[in-house]
Amino acid sequence: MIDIPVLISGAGPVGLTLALNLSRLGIRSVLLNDRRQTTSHPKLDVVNCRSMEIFRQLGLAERIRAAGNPTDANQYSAMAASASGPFYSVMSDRHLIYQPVSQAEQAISACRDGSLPLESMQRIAQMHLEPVLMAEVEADPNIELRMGWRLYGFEQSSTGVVAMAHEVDSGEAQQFFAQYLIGCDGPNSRVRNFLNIDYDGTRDLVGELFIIHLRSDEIAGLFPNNQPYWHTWLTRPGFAGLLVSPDASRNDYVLHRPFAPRPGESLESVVDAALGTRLRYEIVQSGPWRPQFLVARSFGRQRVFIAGDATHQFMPTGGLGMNTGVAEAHNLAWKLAACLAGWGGPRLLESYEAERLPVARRNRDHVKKCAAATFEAQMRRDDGLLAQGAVGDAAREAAGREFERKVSRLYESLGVEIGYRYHGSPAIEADTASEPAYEEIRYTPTTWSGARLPSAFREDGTALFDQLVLGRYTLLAFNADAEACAPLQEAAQECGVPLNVLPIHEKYLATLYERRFVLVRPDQHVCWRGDSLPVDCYSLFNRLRGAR
Amino acid sequence: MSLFIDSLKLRLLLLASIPLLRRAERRSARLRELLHEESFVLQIRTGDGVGGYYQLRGGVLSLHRGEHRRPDFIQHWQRSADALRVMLSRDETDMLRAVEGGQCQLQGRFAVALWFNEAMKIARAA
Repeated sequence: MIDIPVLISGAGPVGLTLALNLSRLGIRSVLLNDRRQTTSHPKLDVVNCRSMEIFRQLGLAERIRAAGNPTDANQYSAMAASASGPFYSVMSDRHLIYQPVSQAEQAISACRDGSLPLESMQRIAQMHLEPVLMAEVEADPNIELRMGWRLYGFEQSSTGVVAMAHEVDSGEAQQFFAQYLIGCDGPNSRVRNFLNIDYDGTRDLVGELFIIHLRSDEIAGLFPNNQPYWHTWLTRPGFAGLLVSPDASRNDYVLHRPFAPRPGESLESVVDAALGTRLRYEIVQSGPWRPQFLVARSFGRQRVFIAGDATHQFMPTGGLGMNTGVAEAHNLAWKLAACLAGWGGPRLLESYEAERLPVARRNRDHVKKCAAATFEAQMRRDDGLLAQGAVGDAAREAAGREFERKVSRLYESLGVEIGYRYHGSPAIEADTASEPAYEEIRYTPTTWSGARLPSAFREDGTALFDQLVLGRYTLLAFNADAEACAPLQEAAQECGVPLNVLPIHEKYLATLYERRFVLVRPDQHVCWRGDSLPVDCYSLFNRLRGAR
Repeated sequence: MSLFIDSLKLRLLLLASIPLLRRAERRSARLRELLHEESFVLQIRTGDGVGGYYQLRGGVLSLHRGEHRRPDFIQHWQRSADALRVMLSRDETDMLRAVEGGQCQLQGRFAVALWFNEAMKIARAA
């Protein structure tokens, strides 16, 4: 039997991220995966701002950017009759999200009010993201990767989890004794099924959509500077779809259609209709898929938890599938590490579900609204869209306006991406101030307890997030000397909680962060704030670390 | 004659949906939850003269004849037969096929369509 602190089932992006995060915290893990290889399908096409912040904390952001869309290439979203045009609208500069990363970085560096994330999003296909994470995992001595191994059962007790796995090809069996088992094993999660946790929601609300993965060196020529837009929504009477270029520097494209080819239609005729012209291309694969809006009723029990698609299945409108999972892995990793190190109390891991399940539900609602918005923008039937002259111009302009008004929420919802707050968590001290307004689209920076700390830069240009040491709490202390912080440091030491104190003197940061003391968790979320330290710092830390 | 029969069938189908939903409301916690999540008027009309609308207000869903002045969402079917075929189909994608094929035009808040689809799926299964 192999004895390991954490056993992870599923080496998709979420499982890989969890293993890497745990390793950065000094925790060893074994990672099992049914498949022998990473995906060969483009799948997801975006790592969103929050995930990029998380990958930056893990030291992976630059490698991910290098594997994805070039940093000087567009991230535009457009609506057109076909990829050959006419184009009704191109969303290119109305929001940070559409700008090339290099341009967005300048805007982020100049931002002083905390309203922008530290990292812009990255346009990248899952089939190019996974190898980056996989290479990191393979080189990491803290992680044992077993590709082609499947979990087939487990039993948990108060002391740990005994799990059984076998190699898919040879049938060779292996037992593991782990302190914790995490299922990152996708929508048909065995771990979730073994735990008898069902999804909350109704399946198949939209039906069976259709996807075609193709390669072409000629499609880029349809776009300015041979640089395909990220998303080109296709709408004209009798045809609707979405052409995705996950990376402007590569020749992979994904065509989404609302249904499979009709009788008499070929895949090629559908692609030709989307392109609006005859070009050379190769169809790599195609097939139906069923988008869902589902969230698991629970995220785990005792020593076994689930993350990623095992906890939720979302239609990709809004790009919150894997990205919700990455944030889950990030939330879970430091808590597991804390419990393994001995300073995390029994309620700390309970806080994973208390914090992340409401976020998953909220993301599901957002994704649903985004799906509805895209249908609304695409289902308007206006026969004038292809007309010549003033009638056609007016119809195309109206379609473009409608598209920007409705579909922009898919891309511009920073409130959803970085504005979520953990309410009612047993690992956060409830704020005494009333909660600032929350909006899905616009992000309101706040240090209200439970919120992600607003990102900011020090006077010397250093990102404050880079000064938050991984795996440790950080007390941001504004114009406070060592003596003023001492009671909290002593309490942390007594509770075994790793704490750093970061003195802050910049006035604009004092304004942004609202309180003289702001205590930030290892996952960059505020867990307490005040203008003076609590009378009983020891009790505060006991609550934060989940001691009963 | 078949036009008359199709429109009669569609009227009956719409009428039958209400007791079906009432029964599901008693049996399904999810449907009870759904009834309080939204407020809308969903208008259904056909080119051959059938018209009616569902109204959800204060957790109560009701069906009315005729045209609402300001519906939140409209399904406008060319023919009752098209509406019948899609509404009775177990394949949710048939609706999207009908829209792209021009047999049905949709207008308004699509969230209402998603709501209604979920409610009807629960009602059929209850």
